[in-house]
Amino acid sequence: MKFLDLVTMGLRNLIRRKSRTILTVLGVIIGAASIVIMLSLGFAMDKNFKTQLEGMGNLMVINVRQNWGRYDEDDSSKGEVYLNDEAVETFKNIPNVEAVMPMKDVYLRIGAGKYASDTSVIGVIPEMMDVFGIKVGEGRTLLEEDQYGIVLGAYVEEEFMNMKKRDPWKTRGEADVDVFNDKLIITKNMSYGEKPRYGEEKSRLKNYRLTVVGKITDQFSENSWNSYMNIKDLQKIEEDAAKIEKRSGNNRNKNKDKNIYNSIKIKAKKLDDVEKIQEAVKNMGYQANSLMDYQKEMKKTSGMIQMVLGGIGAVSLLIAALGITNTMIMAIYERTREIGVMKVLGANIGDIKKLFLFEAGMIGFIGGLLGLLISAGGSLLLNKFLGGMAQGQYYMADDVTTYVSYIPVWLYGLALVFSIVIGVISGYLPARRAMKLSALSAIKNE
Amino acid sequence: MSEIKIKNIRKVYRIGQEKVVALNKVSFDIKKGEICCFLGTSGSGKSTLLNLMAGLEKPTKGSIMIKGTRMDRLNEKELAKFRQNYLGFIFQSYNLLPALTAVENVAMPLVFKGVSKKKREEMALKTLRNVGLKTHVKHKPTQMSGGQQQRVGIARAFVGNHDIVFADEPTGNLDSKTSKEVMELMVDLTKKNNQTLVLVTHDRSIATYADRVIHILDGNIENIELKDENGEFMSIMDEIEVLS
Repeated sequence: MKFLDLVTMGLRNLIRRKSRTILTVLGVIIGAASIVIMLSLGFAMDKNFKTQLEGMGNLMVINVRQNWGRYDEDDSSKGEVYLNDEAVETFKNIPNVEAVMPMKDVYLRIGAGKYASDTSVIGVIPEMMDVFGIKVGEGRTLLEEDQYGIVLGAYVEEEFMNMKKRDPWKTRGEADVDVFNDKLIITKNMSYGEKPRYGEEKSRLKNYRLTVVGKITDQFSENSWNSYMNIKDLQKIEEDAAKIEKRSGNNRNKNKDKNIYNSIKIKAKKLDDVEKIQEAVKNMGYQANSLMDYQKEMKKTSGMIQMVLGGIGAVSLLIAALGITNTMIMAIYERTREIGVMKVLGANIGDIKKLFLFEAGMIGFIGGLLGLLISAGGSLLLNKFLGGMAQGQYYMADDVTTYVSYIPVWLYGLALVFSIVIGVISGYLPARRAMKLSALSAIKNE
Repeated sequence: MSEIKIKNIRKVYRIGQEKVVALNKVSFDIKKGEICCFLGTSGSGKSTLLNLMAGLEKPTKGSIMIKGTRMDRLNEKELAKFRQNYLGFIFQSYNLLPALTAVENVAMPLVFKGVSKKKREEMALKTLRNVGLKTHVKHKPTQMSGGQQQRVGIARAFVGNHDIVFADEPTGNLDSKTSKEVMELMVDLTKKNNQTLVLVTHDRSIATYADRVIHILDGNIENIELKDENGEFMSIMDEIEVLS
């Protein structure tokens, strides 16, 4: 028997029993739709978490710091580790590392005439900013040739205050500083712009002419709190300050000298590599964290929710499967004579089995397909009408969409295949029964 | 060589605790191109005999040889293949598939054989013409008379040009005029294609169309008659008894 003949015959049989087929298909539609919608709620949660995390920074970036709080005996065998150029090289040699960026962060004051704003400045390698997902919203990113160029953090501008005043914070917002055009300076002198206190020696720390090249506008990112400068410029400021401090006899902590960087960022090539790299770095004796840590927790939670929701959906699909079995058994009773005749006319028992399996699978397929269309529509409606409600639950910028229901493309494919498989499995027993039916009793004269 | 060779067939049914002997040591031969009729009252075992020959049932004892193949030893799959290639069937109650048109019903055995749709329909239409059904080819069985339905049934049995056609009370549901037409049609087709036709009936008048009539009574062969050149039936029972 040719496959095409099998298909036509199967479809004809289904069409012949229209109302029963429709009702059975309806069961599968409800089953498939409920399982997909239920899962989509869980996937939406996953996706929202992920978007939220991505908003906070790059998921593929690992932050490495000196492990200050480590006192346990086991680890001491590894010896002291420092954040220096040697470490940068070591990290670069870890498999699947895309880039390594040493960072230094210094608390500095930016001055604009009588106004000043304090910010944590991070020294970076200019071309690495893009790689590590530090997004400049206004202006441009740092370039190697910039002399004391800076990308301002999201909150620097609104923090300009008149330091000469008694309560400087009250003057917040008063200054109308055009950061791109006004003359700005940056200094390690944290009393810049303040009234010299009586008897206090004037600070000899230098002011550096500052050029703002860009501004971070994304308010929810982990990167928004800091400003960014070329690490070379920052080191220069630090060295100058150290010379001055040395002259004034201020000796700094020895350990800190060995740590020429405050932190080192490592970017993985793929999301899957993050965990392994993080583990490797930790084993060297550093403290390493990444947004993956959060994600792992969130994945666990949403995984559980998905299982519960999917389970509820699965129950309805199971009932649909029973419906298919029932329909097929009915069909066999009805078509006993027909099956017998077909056998006598030379139908292979395998063909008869295939015919019934095809019919059952077809019910699964049609039900699955329509169920998917319905879930796609349902998902759309859910997002449209309940999407606003979900927005409040996540820390995200307003222009980012939050989902109530999210159906990944693969879920469509999987659900469809699953529906067909359910259909075929449900049809298996009836099909075997049809196969074993005695041709003789079927064609007996009544 | 005989087309069908039955030797010492015995068939016992078990109905609850009781054993019912449907056939008791039956032997006979049917030659190629012959029209053979099993004549007997209901319950005589003639239908059982047909079922055994068609491979729908297995004998309790004995051997069934058709075209040199031991039918009683074939499995389901081999039987299906064997039926596709060699056997055609005509039923008393026609057994047409109600959802299919006349042409599709006739083409049915060819579907299982894997013949293409175009070829199938061509063959089916030709056979329908041969059985004298020219107008109702696109009709469903319910829209046809009994005689027309049986013509479709006959066409279905002959479409594959099988070597052997089995007919179980083919005229049982038809009036005498239609019966005559149908019988003549079957005989005509069989003779034309040099096929073997095996009939089962309780109707003596049907038996007159046969070359060989085997009388069955209570599971035994009562008599075997052969038609001679003059159309007279002669019993050959004595010869067989002498031979065996």
